[in-house]
Amino acid sequence: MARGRITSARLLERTGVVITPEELLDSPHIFIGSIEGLTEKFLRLREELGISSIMIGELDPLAAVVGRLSGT
Amino acid sequence: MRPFRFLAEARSIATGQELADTACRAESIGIDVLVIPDHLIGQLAPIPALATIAAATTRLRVAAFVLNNDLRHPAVLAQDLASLDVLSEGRLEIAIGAGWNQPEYTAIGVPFDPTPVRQARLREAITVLKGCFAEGAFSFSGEHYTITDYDAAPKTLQQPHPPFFIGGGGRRTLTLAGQEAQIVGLAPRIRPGVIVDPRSLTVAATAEKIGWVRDAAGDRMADIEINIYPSVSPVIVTERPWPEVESLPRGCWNVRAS
Repeated sequence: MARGRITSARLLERTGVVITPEELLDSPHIFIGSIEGLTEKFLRLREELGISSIMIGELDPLAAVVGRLSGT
Repeated sequence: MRPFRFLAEARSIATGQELADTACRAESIGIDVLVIPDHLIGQLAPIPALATIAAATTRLRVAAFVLNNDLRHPAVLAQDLASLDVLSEGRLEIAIGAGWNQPEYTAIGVPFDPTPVRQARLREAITVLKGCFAEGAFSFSGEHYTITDYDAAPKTLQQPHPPFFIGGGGRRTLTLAGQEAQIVGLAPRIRPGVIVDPRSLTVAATAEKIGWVRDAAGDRMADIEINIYPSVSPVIVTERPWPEVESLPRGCWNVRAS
């Protein structure tokens, strides 16, 4: 975590960027990916952070993810 | 490990039949809670819409996501919510926040107080709501609300109260959530001017927020459900996520209205 801070501080200094695309892709607040990828992301969030309740926004885009994970 | 629970949002403006159809579809695909936003502009009022959703379904739970505490006196809200819990046979969840959408306040002349004041008012409102839901008469003397020997009716079917959802990204709100809520929503941290702090989007920042909740919850932590919602980008289903992610701003950006 400390290393991450140093990296982002350097990023900010050099480029004005404060968060990397990798961090955005991994962010618990950003749901961008394939059905498979987002299914794995939600499983990882539950496993690593204990996040089990997920607001998916509109019904249709992630219905297939809900279908795979609902009841598990 | 807790089983997953999924929340989804019903289209905000709809006919009763469309709402009922959406509700049945949500129930059939495994959605646990169907929600309606709480804004004054551009949508049906959440309470009657949620009653319609509940009437069309048998298992689906309902919530306004998120009730703006400043739009209603909490004792009046308590009657609406308790009625909804009765009508839905105990399927209500109560997501409530301190309010953030300043143009709505301005439009109807409700003062948009500084964040600490709105947060203090939310804390009192939660006490009032729980007091109204509990058996017997209730009195409360706070800085913002005064309740005198009031035996609210109806009482909620879920006792002592339906699950509370409180969400936020700062330590003060997450402490309140850890103390009072059954479901805690994690959000990015918002800087003054309604700007998202990008560093609060990371996995490490999320772990830190969960730590704040744990500090406030103590022994209650095992009973708390942790929630997440997409708040800075629309949901995008794609086999090629990189171009989408790389097109997101990397600095600060304005909060998308939701």
